[in-house]
Amino acid sequence: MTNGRPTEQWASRVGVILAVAGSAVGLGNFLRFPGQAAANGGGVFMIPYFLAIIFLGIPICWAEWTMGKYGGQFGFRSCPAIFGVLGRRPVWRYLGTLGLLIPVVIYMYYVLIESWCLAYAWSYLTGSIDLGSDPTRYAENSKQFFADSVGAEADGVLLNESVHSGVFFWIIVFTLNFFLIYRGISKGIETFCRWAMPAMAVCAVIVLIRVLTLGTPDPSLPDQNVINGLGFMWNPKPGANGESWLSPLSNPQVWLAAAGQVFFSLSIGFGIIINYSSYLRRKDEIVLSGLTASATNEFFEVCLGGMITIPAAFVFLGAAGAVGGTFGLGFNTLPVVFEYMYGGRVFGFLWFFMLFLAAITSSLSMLQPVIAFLEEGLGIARKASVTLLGMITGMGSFFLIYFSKNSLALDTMDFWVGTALIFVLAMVQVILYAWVFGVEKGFQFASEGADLRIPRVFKFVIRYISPTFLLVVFVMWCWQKLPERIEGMKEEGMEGAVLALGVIGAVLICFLILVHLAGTRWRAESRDTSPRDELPAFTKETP
Amino acid sequence: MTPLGWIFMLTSLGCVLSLVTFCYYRVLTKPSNGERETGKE
Repeated sequence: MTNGRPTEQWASRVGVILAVAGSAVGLGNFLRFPGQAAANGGGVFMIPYFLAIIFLGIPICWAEWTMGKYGGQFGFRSCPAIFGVLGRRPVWRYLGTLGLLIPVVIYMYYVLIESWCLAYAWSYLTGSIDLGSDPTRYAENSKQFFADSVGAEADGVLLNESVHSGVFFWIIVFTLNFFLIYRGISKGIETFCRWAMPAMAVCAVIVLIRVLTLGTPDPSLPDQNVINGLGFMWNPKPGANGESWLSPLSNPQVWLAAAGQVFFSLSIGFGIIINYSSYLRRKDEIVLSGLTASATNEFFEVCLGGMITIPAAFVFLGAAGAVGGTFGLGFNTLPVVFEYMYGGRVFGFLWFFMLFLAAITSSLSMLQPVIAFLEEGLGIARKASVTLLGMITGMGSFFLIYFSKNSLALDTMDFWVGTALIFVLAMVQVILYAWVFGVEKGFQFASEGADLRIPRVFKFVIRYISPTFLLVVFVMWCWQKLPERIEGMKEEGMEGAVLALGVIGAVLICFLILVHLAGTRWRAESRDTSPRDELPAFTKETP
Repeated sequence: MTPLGWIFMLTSLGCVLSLVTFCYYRVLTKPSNGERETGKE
């Protein structure tokens, strides 16, 4: 540590790319994407999807990489500090608090979902998942198994009398996360992602090969074959009344779903890419690295997620079984599919172990931004930072274990923080980068040491199109979702959801106070930037 | 599966695989400017 600032760095370029990609690849790639595509026009969905990647995903990713690396040159690693450097007004530092709140709150529930994946993988490995011998009751038994595993029946059931196995897996996963994060950026996160990402790809490819070779498992149902399963996912689905196959493009819902999927999938607006890229040196390349990390995420999403889940469900369960949300498809439907599948126990293990790896590479990335802030903002050593963060996230996650009824508390955190607030942070980032820091300055800094040039058209895209795209999607999302959600909070039995909002508020207030203290400390140590502070010109000798 | 379904699937897979191949080819075969200057891997 130099002058109280952590001096860690990535060991290799591939390492940082895999770490950022690992942060982005999660359950949404394998479970949310195929469901969204099949429900929103099939193959036609890919048109707005790819447009959203070009005009929303990749430009904002490049902006985040640039802002993070720029802030890193001043020795800062956390969103509040980096926003302060870029915006040069205290208000930006306080807005940067979102870059602490979002990863911490998402971690609280994500680590729980991660433990479900590990518990399912273990159940397949040991054969303890049993859906019975009557195929007509597989779906019902699968739902019951999931409800028992996550304590959906009532609040507190996971903690009644003896310790539930779900709590046991949560402890393992929680400890593993903090063990890896304690080892640091290079030895912990980078080393783990360097083997976890290829391992995830291998598991997914094995399951993909199995799905593509399913043929027609039940000869009495010849239509339920793998080709028709792929068709259910990829065939353009015309609207009712014999409309053209392009008709879904006139539906705003399809554009909203595509933009939302790209947005959530690429981990934009989490404050994670900014933190990760702040550990780069000035001469390190970011344009090609950012593009490669995004491309890796798309490979897992389109080439693997888009080819496995829906076709597998269609082959065994037909069109009716191949629809559902993330949890429904992943934890209710797919166990039924594996029950029908020859070798299903092995493939079930590989599938859930792959989901576990996807989840842990994401959850790891959620801890580092806050640890960096505790270190640089409050001068707390890494060991103490890790311990403090462990206590905060442990209490939040334990709250969710207790209030487990129908996962209402978890869903509330996901809605307000994992969805609404990341839109807000992404908007803040785009405005800060394009309108305060300056697109010209940002592009010039991004081009230092770059292997690729960002096309000039992206200056216009990031300044005008990306913020407009984001704003339209956010307003439409609020229009559609907020009234129903607010009404739902007034119903009986929503204590867990209301308390979850209280937890979010408490964490936000704590972080605002800490950011204020950090700002005072930086000013007292003359480490805050002033309008005169600029980086020296970039030369070949620049370290 | 309809012909349009095949077109959408193969085009999507082709685009993503081409991009991934291009990116990793550039990353793995050509050291970045920073790495070239220091002679580091």
